[in-house]
Amino acid sequence: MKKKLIILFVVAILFVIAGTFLIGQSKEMVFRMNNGTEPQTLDPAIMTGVPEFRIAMQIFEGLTAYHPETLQPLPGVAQSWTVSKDGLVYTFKLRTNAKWSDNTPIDAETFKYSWLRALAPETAAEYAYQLWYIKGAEKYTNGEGKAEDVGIKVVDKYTLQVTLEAPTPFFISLMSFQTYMPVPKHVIDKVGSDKWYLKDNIVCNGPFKLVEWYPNDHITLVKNDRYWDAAKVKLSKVVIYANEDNSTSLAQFAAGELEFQEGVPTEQMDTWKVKPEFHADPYLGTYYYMINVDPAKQTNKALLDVRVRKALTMSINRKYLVENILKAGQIPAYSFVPPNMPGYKGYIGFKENVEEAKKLLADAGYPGGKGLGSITIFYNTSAGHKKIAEAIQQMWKQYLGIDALLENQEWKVYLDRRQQHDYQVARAGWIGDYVDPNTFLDMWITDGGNNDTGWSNKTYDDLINKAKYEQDPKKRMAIFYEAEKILMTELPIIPIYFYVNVYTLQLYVKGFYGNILGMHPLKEVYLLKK
Amino acid sequence: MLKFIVRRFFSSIITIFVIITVAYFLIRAVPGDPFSSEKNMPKEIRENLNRKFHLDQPLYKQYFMYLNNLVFHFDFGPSFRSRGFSVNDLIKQYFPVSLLIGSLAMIIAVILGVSFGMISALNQNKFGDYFFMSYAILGISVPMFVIVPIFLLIFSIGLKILPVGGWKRASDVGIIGMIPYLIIPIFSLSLPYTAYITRMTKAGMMDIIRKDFVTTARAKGLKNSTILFRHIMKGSIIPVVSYVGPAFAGIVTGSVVVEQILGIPGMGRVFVQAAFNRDYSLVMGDVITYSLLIIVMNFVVDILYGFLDPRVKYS
Repeated sequence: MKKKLIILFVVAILFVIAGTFLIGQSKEMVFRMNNGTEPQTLDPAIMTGVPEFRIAMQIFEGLTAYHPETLQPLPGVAQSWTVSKDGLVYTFKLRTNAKWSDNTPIDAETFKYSWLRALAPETAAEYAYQLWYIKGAEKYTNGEGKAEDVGIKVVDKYTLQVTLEAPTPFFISLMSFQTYMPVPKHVIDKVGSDKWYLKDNIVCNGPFKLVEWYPNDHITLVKNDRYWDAAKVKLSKVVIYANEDNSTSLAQFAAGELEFQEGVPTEQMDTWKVKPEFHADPYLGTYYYMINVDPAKQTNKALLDVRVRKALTMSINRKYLVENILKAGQIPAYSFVPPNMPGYKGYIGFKENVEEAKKLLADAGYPGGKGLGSITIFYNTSAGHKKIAEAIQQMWKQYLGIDALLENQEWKVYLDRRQQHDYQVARAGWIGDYVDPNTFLDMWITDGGNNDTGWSNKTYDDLINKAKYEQDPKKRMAIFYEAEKILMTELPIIPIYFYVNVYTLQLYVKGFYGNILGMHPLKEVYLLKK
Repeated sequence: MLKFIVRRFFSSIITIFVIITVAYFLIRAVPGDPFSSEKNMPKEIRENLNRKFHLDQPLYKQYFMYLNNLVFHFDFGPSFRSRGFSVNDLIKQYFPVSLLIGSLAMIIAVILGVSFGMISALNQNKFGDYFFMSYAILGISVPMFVIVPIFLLIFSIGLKILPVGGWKRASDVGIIGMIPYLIIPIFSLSLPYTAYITRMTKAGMMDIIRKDFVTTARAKGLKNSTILFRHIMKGSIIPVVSYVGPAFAGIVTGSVVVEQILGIPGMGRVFVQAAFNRDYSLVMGDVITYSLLIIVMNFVVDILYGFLDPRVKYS
């Protein structure tokens, strides 16, 4: 009797499974992607991360929008723009047919409101400083200035005039950036600044609009028919998952349940690397080790000697790391600014040279590593960082006779200790915010918010400041080159490799390009399924 | 009985208060903060953020503010990470998912575990016994992060009859549409619980089978099935009941591993994420939900005891 029941039960389950698979698939053009994590917010003024921006660029549109391949600014809500001779005043002509998905029109006032809101101290937007190129903006955020003094002027309904603190050659490319996107005043006034972007309230002005949001699960977007360029939008639906497990999302991709997903675990790299669905695009980011050069905090004083730092830098075999550990086509780094930065060639300040490294170490008073003590490599817990640290540990031991210890901490503790200069050598990574060397170099100024090394160099600070006011692009790049030369001679940081953006994409996806920011506007993407 | 309930109620309140207080100060004592990231922000902006989330107030003031909101408004506060969502909203989203998977897994674990345990006990040192005891050892010792990928490998990638993880809602695909997404999480989650229950049932039955009252029942000539269900089972299920109560609280608050690997938006995964993100309010919300459940379940178990075991008195 019991046996029969069990058999019956199993058969019933199998029937149900078969049934669900037989339910016909609809003919909609649906793009399913894994975004890797739950977005922290969908308020473009508040968001800071890549996963958030990836969604925002589908549902909102700034004055300009990224070209999917080159990232050049394409007309968005702005039809055209002009820049004054001194590079300080930008005048944007807005299109008259831009509107929110509830049909409320978008005009110059919308942008003035949105930008001032992002700057306002009570909004507490982390990326407010992305708008600090605008005159008076920084003071307003810091509570020292007034909103009226910020250089944003509505000339007429569809003309917006922006005055900057200093000529900023990359200002136009920032117009596609999240912090500069418009937000709907009429909705915010009604439901509040913290709730307007939730599913039931949100209105969008991009190619898609949000219709579903299940936290930690998925977000569903559908085509926004009120988008001014809706005729070009081919996908009817975009489903964005928040799955953090890379192995599972890769398996889902392999099973045809996803069109796009990012990352391939290193242990599966060899299998995937050869498939046509695999992509590894150059990325605007650098993986590096930073050295604590704060004399008050560095516990191994040998690291304060530039010769020791140089010896450490020269004795890392980057080609080995890239080919045997990372395996996805990462590029060995001998400069800090990635090589794919348009118009700029990074300063190459050192070569890998074990003999010279040994000599330098001896000159510094530590022949064969004697008397130097041990160096602790500090990294945030991750199998990938560990493998690299272990390889470098081996290299330093073998080539220089230096004992390196490894220490890992969970992400937030790691960040905390880094900021307090409580480490000897720490792993770090930097992803550019915009396509300009400035995003890599201005962080190393004395007491710069992201300069966790304690490094300070007056000439360097002056050069970075000079670049701010230089209008001639060629001269400007030359200044950056000089600055990077100092950075790569003093070596408070050891560049290791340049990131690649690894992802898998189904072959039937068309109109989807790789680019150095890893940003993928889905506006003109379509699927060629049989 | 009433006296017992009233007393339990008050001791529960004290327990929960102690848990809240300890958890609150513990999570705040952990290094790192909710707003740190690879990119540091200017000091002034940081101050604006602190003001917005009241982190600029002294800790004891924040604690009393938290208690006040919790007790008088049953408000867990806004999430530090998922901006715009309150912790109440988030728990409302995540808890039902874990509750559904957990309850189904528990039901299956009890049904299978009790049956397997009984079969083992009645077939001592025969094939059935060895088979289910090996199964129990396997279920207890093989960790979840091995079981789930093996299931995925067999059923999703090999046989292609089940989806590779993911989650669907009844509102989108209907209850029947949900089933393929439920099978792997439920069966993998129930495996260790089934194993424990199998062993407990077997041990309980072996104990009871030798008791005098069973021999008496046999001597009276009662039918085997009557002896089994009326006399043996009632006694041998007591350890299972005391196990299932707290285990139920554990299983419905979600399994980190199962939810993480399969990408299921449940409580377990979120709890761990919240701790890593230093999402103070969400961690607190999870801790409180979990402790409430444990307290309630223990309470239920204690009451059930009285019905199953006549020796227990509520005094």
